[in-house]
Parts: sequence; structure tokens; C-alpha cells
Amino acid sequence: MGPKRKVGDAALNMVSQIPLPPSAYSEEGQRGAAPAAEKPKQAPRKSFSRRQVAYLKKMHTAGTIAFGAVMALGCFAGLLLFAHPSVSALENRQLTEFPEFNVGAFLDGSYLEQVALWYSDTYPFRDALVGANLDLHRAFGISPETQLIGGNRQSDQLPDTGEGEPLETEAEPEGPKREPRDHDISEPEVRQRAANIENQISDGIYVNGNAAYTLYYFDKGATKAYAQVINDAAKMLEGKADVYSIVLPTNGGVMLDDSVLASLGVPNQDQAIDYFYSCMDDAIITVPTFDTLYAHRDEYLYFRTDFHWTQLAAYYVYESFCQQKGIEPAPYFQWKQLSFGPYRGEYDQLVSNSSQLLADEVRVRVPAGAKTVQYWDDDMTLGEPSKASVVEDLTNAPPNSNFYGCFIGGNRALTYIENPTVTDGSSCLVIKDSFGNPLVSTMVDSYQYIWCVDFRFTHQKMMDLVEEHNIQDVIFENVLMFAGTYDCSDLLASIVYPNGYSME
Amino acid sequence: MVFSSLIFLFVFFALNLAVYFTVPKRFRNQVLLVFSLVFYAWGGPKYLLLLVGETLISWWCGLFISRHEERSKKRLGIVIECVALLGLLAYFKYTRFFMGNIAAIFDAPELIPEIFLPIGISFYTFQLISYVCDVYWDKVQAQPTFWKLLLYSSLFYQCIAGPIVRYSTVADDIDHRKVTSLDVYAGMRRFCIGLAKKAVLANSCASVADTLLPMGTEGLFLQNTAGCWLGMLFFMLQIYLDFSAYSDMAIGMGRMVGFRFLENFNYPYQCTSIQDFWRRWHISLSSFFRDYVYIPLGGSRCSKLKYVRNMTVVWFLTGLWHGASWNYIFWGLFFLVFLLLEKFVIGGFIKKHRGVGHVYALIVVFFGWVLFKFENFTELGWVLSCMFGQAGTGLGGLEVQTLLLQNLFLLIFCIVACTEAGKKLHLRMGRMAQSSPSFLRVYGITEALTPVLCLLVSVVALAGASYNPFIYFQF
Repeated sequence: MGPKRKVGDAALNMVSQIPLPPSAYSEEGQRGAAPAAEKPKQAPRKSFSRRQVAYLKKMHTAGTIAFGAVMALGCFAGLLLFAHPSVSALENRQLTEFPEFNVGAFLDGSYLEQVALWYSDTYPFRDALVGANLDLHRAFGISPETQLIGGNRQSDQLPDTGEGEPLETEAEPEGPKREPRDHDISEPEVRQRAANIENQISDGIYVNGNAAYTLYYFDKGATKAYAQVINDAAKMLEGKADVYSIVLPTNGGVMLDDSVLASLGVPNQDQAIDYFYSCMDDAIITVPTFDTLYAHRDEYLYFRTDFHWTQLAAYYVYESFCQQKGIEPAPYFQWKQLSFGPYRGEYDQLVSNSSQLLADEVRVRVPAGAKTVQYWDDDMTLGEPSKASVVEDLTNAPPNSNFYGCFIGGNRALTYIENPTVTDGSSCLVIKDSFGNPLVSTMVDSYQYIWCVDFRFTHQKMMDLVEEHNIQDVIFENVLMFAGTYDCSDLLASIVYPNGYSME
Repeated sequence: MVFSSLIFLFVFFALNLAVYFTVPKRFRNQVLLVFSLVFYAWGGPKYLLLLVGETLISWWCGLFISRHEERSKKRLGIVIECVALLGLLAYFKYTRFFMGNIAAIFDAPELIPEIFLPIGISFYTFQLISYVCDVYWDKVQAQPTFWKLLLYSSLFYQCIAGPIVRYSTVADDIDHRKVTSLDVYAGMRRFCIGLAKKAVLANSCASVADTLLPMGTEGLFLQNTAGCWLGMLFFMLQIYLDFSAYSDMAIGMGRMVGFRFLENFNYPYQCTSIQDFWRRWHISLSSFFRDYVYIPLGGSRCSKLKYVRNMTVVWFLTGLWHGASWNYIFWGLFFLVFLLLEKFVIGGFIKKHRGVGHVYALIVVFFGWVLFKFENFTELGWVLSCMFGQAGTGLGGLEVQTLLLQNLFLLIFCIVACTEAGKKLHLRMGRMAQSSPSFLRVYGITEALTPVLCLLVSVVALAGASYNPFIYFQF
């Protein structure tokens, strides 16, 4: 009798003498099961026949083989290093990089933990798996038409600045201490800060009907820290360049009524932006944004499925900027129009019933002058730049692509745009977040040279760029929910201050 | 490395299974040992020395006890074992706690040293102590081969999150285990179910609980009454599903290679009293304290006063084992109060009225988890007052309503998963399959597909979510 036969007989004996299926019996038969589960109390009523056992054995073997196959495939897929993505389009973020070896980190376990994190974060087919996981979570419950996601934050009381009132001077309680950072800011820290900033998006999302809105929570200390960096930038740039500040409202601030905002415990963003600007020195040219957008709130200013704004909204703010600068805006409405879609933005992942959100369309106009941008993701070494269009034509891209990424090549550490149709030597540096991408796409015809840095990813220093490229205007652009965080002012500080954290 | 991670699943465990079943049988223990040491070293190779060192001490103590007939020498062996291992446990786990308390009273010392808590130390320390005690009591023979005892203490299935496996349970399996195809299937099935329980259910519950009760942030103090209750309900589900999932995975992996570990949970939320709860919850820990603390102290066959003393010691230690913080000690003593109440006052009543006993036990366990969750007493006090509407943050809100509705099916499913319903359904299907060929076909297909579906859905959950807490660091 061969060994196989023996196993078969054992299994048959095991299951044929009891009324329970083999696997169930074997689990109950685990040693040490608690008294209640130790053994069946009643005598067997019926048992599996020899044929039934053979069939079940076959199915168990099939199950074991299927398990082995999935494990083998999963292992093989993980070994395909080239298939590990570095960016998640769905989550709009850089994925964890493979860590550099370091003996200390190896010994304390942090190196291998980082390797595990890299493996998990960049596992092949990540976006498909993330999408499937979202679908799984959507099946967890019912999604009401009106809902609040996050919202577990308290907004500071918004000070009443009043028109023309001086900036408050009362002593502030000392905020959380921040570590000074220098030019060689470590990659994990930059990524962590950038991730913290991205998390602001989900701090408060209000869903009503077919659209979602990002809420903003006022933080007085962080607001002052932000204004302080811009004030210091203006001092450093005095006589060299003009400094502009563009603080943008979120979609919730413009599109939701004050009564709704009040019921959600969040401030009026018009007043919040006024407070930001009131904290800034007179040398800074502040660009009105809230009233500008509010006047057009019946137009397609913000996406329903994404927290970003449309290029049309960006154009209105650009008009406001031109008014402050005293120049004529480019003839936006004469530019060639394109339309991409359907587009489903980041709310699609954050809102459980995102199907109730009406898909968006990304309507863009292509500037007449500048057409191409050069960009660097790694701006430490500044190798050969990559190229993209100022507005990429994504007409043929598959539905639900990241159409918002069509502007100036997306979020890049450093971007450069040269407009051959403008020859006056005008130049600007835009220190921006992702809201700045469509904004820059509307202003390209107003400058001959535009340099952009994304404050979350860059390693550049403001003064180096200004002096090296003879920059005339430095434009700080941030949306409120990012601007009102210490992480934002910290990252801006690392760009503005030569030593990375202060004027000294 | 944790079981519920892709690198464990598709690198470590896949390689482990492939190598284990490929090498000749005589090398399989060595394979398991190497993989176990690598697994443990993943969290910091330097802490491997501690595990190996503790095992070396226990191995020596075991041999010392077995080689001496005199009671005094045997006692010496066990004293060395307990002093060394409990001393190391106290140093790594409780030094900061004790010094913190001293500093709070005497304002000194000013500087409390940072001491890293080696992962799993509470589990393997107890395992090794139980081994030496069992040698002392002649329940098992001392293991003459050091690496085999190291295999017992470091076996990656249970090393970092339990169950606390007795040496007597695996002594025979180490040298003479046999694996049938049914063992491989049943182990694999148990592992996959445990993995899905952790990756899908427990992590999702944890996400809701931590959203509603964000410890260490100002957000906690903004929560309303309904949010606190719902958050604690999800935490109650999370902690059972998470912990029992780790036990499922450990038991399943062990069974795949022929080890048969003790059950660690027996549907504890079906309990009808607190005593019943502790017969069903973390069975390996409660039986450890029963066999190595409670009974040596005199158990229940003594005067009332001594019984209360014995119980107090056991429940103080049970609390302390769970973490170096007062809330865990209070959590242990909280259960002591109800156990004594059951013993001397209400035991008879709840035995007769099982429904009432069930509701009472669940309420006590629920509030026990509130004590367990919050190490910070300001937070604990605030949450308790908020639960009874005394925090001034209102009874409910849109956020809580949204979270409840969005996770309603999850909540119901998790509640059902805490009961025997699934097991009973499985048995019923098996019985139906015996009498009907079509049911047999359905049952067979279910048997084949359940593990792999659980595995696939777990992979989706693990790859797609960043929320994967490991809650045993303080143990």
C-alpha cells in the first residue's frame, strides 16, 4: 500500500465515522479547543460516503492548489521590479522609494520596515488594487446623499480684522516646536510633510447631492507662520523682485452658503483670506480671490468629483492678478478650447458613494503663445529636463484618466516655460501647489520666462532662482487648506530662507 | 514584519512554504528555525540576541532541573529562570513605567531612559517560563537540544502575537509531526480566513474606531455622545477580530506543517458571564495565569480571604501583562471586581438567567475596553463623560451618522463574525451535503473557493489600504 493510499484511507476514516464534513471536524478536533467546542455532544446521525469523501478530498486539493497558485503568482509579481510603480495616478502621489542601506537602520529594524513599506506601497497593479479596495469599502454600507467625511477638527475663532485694521500684535502661545531644516532636507521628511498637506483634503469633506466640497479649518498660529514666511521673502527680495500672494478659497468656501458652513463649524473663507492678507506686509501685493470667484459662482469653477478648480476659475484669478499688476490679461476666451472626460477626481476615493457624484468634464483652453514646458522631477541633480505641453491635449486619453494633470506637466519639483512670442524679458517665479498648475497655464502669455516650483517637492532656494534667472515677480500661490498648516509654512521656509528655517 | 502584509505573504511565507515542502523531512525543523529567526530579526536584528539569550537561559535551567533530584537544586533552577526572564521583561517593559511613577511622586529622576520594547517579549518570555515550570513539575522532559528549544520559542507562527504555546503542546510535534493533505487544506483555510478577518474586517473596524476616537489629538475632545459609543463599539469588534485573526493565522500556519496549537478564542462575545468571558478570551494567557500563578498560590481551595488575594494577584498581573500603564492594571482589576461579584453575589442569578447574564457580561466587557483603550486618563475621563452626555459636545452629528450608514453592513457582518453563526452554517451545509448530491457539489465548490477568495480579498485590502495597525506592540 503506497503512502498516497494511506492518506486517503486516513481521511476517509476520519470523515466517514462522523456526521460532520472533514474540514469542519478537523477544526473542532484541534487540540485544546475550549470545552464547549471540544467534541460533538450527540452521536453521529449520518456520515459521508466513501464517494462523497473522495469528492471532497478532490475539492480540498483543488482549493490547496488554488491557494498555492495565488501565492506563487503573488510572489512572482512582486519579483518583477520593473512592474513596481513609483507614482500612483489614482492617489496623486509619489510612492515610497526603496530605502538606502544603512547599518544603524538595519540593526534597529527601520531599514527592513522601510523595505516592507516599499514592497507594499509599490506592489504591481497598485492602482487596480486600490480601486478594487475602494469598491470593497463601498459595499460596507449605505451612503446618504448628504454626508460629512472627517470633520473631527475645530476651527480657531477667526479674528475680526476689519478694513484697514493693523495686524494683531498680542503675544501668541508658543506653538509646537518645529525642527530646523537645511537645504539638504531629507526625502522621507519632504514626503511626510507633503503627505500631511495632502491629508488636509480629507480633514473635512462635505457631500451634498452630486458634488463634494472641501472644508477649511482656520488655524491662527499656522496662518501667522505662513504670512511670516511671505513677509520675510518680501524683505529678502526688496529691490530685486515684486512679491505677490495668491491665497485661494476651496470649493466649499465659494460654493456652499454661509449657513451651511456655519452649521458645519467652519469659517467663512472670505474673512479667512482677508485675515491671511492682513497679516502680510504692505510690500506684498495681495491678489483678491474670493470675491472674484464668488462673482462667478454660477459658472463651472470647481469640479464636483475633485477638490481642484477649473482652468476657468484660474483665469478669473489670473485676471485679478493682472489688475493688481497693471497689465492686460491674455485673451483667454479666444484661445482654442478642448474638453476631456469623463473625469473623476480625488473625491472618488474619499467619498464612499462616489457614484452619486456627477462625473466632471475638464474644459481647457490652449494658450496662443507658449506651448511647451520643461520640467525636472529630480531638481537636486538637474539633469536633462523632460518636456510636456503647457496644456496637454488628452482628448484621446481613456475615460477617467487624470485629466487635471494636463496643465504644465503636472506637479513637478521644477518647471520652466519660455514664451517665444513675448520678448520683453519679463520673468516670474511661481511657488505653488497643484492649484497653481491651471493658473500658470493661463498666465504663460504674460511673461517671457516662467519658473515654477511645487513647494511640496522642490529642493530649490528662492534667492538662487531669483538671482540666477533675473526673476522680476515672485508669486506665492496656495489654497487655504494647505496655506493654513504648519507643514506648508515649514516647506515654504525651506525654499525661502537660505538656511532653511529662518532669516538669521 | 506582520502576517497581514504583502511582504510577509508573497515573499516570506511563500518562500517558507516552498522551501519547507521541498527539503527532505529531516531538514524541515532547521528550515523553520532559520525562517523564524529571520522573521524575528526583521523588527531589529539586535533584539534577536535577547530571544536567543532567554532561550539559552531556559534551556540551561531546564537541563539543570532535570539533572538534579534534590528539591532545593530544582528550585534553584526555577528561581534562576524566573529572576532572569522576569527581570529582563521588567527591564524592557516596565522600567519606564516604574520610573515614571517614581518621578511623578518624588520629582526624580529627571530623565527617564528610552527603552525599546522588543516585539513579542511578553509572549516568548511566558512560553519559556511555562517550559521550565513544566520541567520542574515533571510534566515535560527537558529538551536536550538547544536549537529545538529555540525553534519552540521563536517559531514565527506565534512568536510575536501569540497564542502562548505550551511546550507540552508541541514537544512531540517538533520531532514526530505528521501532515496529511487534510491538515494542509485545513491549515491553509484557517490561515486565509484569519488573514481576511484581519485585513478586511479588523482593519476596517480600526479605521472607523480611530476616526471617531482619534487618541492624542484635539479631535477626540470634539466627538459627541453617539460618536463615542459607536467608536467604542467598533473598537470592541476590532480588538476581538484582530487578536483572534492572529491566532487563526498562527494556528492555520502551524497546522499546515503539522503543529497543532491550542485554540486561543472561543467566541468570547457569546459569554454569559465575566467568568465565561475569560474562559473564552485569550485562553492561552488565562490558562497560563491559572496554571502558573493562581493554582500555585492556592487557587480556590482555601479561605475566602486567600481566594480574594489569589484572584487579586492574578488580575493585577493580567492587567500589567497587557501594557505598562495604569489603565491596563485598572482594566485587570475591573474584571476582578465583577469576578468576585459573580463568585459571591450574582453567580447563581446569572446562571439561571443566561440572557440577562449575556447582556450584563457584554456591558461589562464593553466598558472594560474603554479602560483598555485609553492610557491617558484625561482622555479616558472625557470619553466616559461624553458617553453619558456630560461633555457638552452634543448627542450626535452628521459625521457620526455618515460613518454609521457607510459602515452599517460592515458592522452587522462583524457582529455576526463574532458569533458561531459562520461555523454553524458550515456544519449545516456539510450535513446537507451528505444527503443531496447537488448540495454536495455546492459544498465542495465552497470548500475549494473559500480560502482562495479570502486570500484574494485580503490582498486587495492590504495593497489598497494604508491602514494596518499592529496592536500588540505594548504586549
